[in-house]
Amino acid sequence: MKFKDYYQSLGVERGASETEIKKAYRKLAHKYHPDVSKEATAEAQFKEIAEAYQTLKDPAKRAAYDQLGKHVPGEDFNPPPDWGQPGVGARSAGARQESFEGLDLADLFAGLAAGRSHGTSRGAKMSFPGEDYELRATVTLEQAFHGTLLELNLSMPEYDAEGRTVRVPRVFRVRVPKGVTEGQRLRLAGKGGHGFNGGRDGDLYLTVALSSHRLYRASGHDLYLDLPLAPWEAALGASAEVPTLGGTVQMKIPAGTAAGQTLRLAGRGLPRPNGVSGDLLVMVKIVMPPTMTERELELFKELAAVSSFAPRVELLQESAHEA
Amino acid sequence: MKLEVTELNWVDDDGECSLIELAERSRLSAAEILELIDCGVLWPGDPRATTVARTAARLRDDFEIDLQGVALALTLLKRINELETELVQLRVRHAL
Repeated sequence: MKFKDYYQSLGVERGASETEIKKAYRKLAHKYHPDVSKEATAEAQFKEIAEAYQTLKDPAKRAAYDQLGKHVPGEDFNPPPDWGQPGVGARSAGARQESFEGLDLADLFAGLAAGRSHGTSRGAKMSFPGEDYELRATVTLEQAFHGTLLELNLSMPEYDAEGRTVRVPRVFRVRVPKGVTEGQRLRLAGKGGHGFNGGRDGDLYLTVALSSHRLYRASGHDLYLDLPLAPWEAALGASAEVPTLGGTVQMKIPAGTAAGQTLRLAGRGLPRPNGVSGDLLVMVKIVMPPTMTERELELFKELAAVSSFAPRVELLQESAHEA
Repeated sequence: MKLEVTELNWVDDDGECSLIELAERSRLSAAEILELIDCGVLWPGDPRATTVARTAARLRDDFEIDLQGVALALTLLKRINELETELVQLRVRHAL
């Protein structure tokens, strides 16, 4: 089992008072709580803080933790042989944890708490629901469009027949139907931690994140795509090949299309669970050829000479009004 | 290693769950759910009820705050969420 320095996690001295521990936890929780923090590492940071606080706020658990002695964080260690004996609070004398291999320090204290609460009502079987788990799953736009099969690898603490905590690897193969989008939450009923003594099994919650795409930007189920047009295509209209997640489509560009205009390809965005797909919004960009031939320049000069179009008239009128 | 093949539910679409189911999923008590409904941060049939109720339970436990504090935090989180969604939409539209 790897040692974790709970005092260091909360940034307090080993001799800190209960009030100091609470204060340190609150300060860190405000900073790292995943519901309020936007820091990328918030979830992991908060887990560490919460785990430390769960143990240190409870005088009995804190005493049991202190009995483990001081080790270098991350160092492999085993609790001393007399650890968790009556007075400190063990699951029960007969159900001593024999192997700590692969266990997490938090499991040890969870087991200790379970042992205490079960011990108080000897014979009366208390049941507890299994723990819920929250996971983030990143999917590509292509996967969201077609649906996908995700494989989730988790390590969950479970109780064996003797009530000992063991870490069990679990692999879930989940069919994600088409229609997910950023922030979508999915629930795998009963796939969280196992309930204790007949308590119901916990659930596994997945929050979907879409990975960024080279071409498309997603907003809900709508997708945005920049479409470069040559000035003459914008002026005269054109039929342009436009890539969509479902394959290339021909799009009619109306004559006189201006830069910044948005053209809508209805139903070419991400599918929704109800079957109605989002749209693909094509944003027009007018681009110039990187180099122009003599002839091309000549034609533009000719256009400049014959055209009476004054694109900045409104701008100048506005500024005259202001003056 | 055991491989489990599993089906999933859309959390935001199964908002029509009963009060008991919502309490079970969020680990709030029925009384707490009713109080959040009174505060206007949850309502029956809300498609995001499970998500909101679970957040409420986390805020209650992790910050050790009462339900009024939870309701206020949920209201502010909802506003932040709406503003962030708007910001994402603006960024997406203007390729920022």
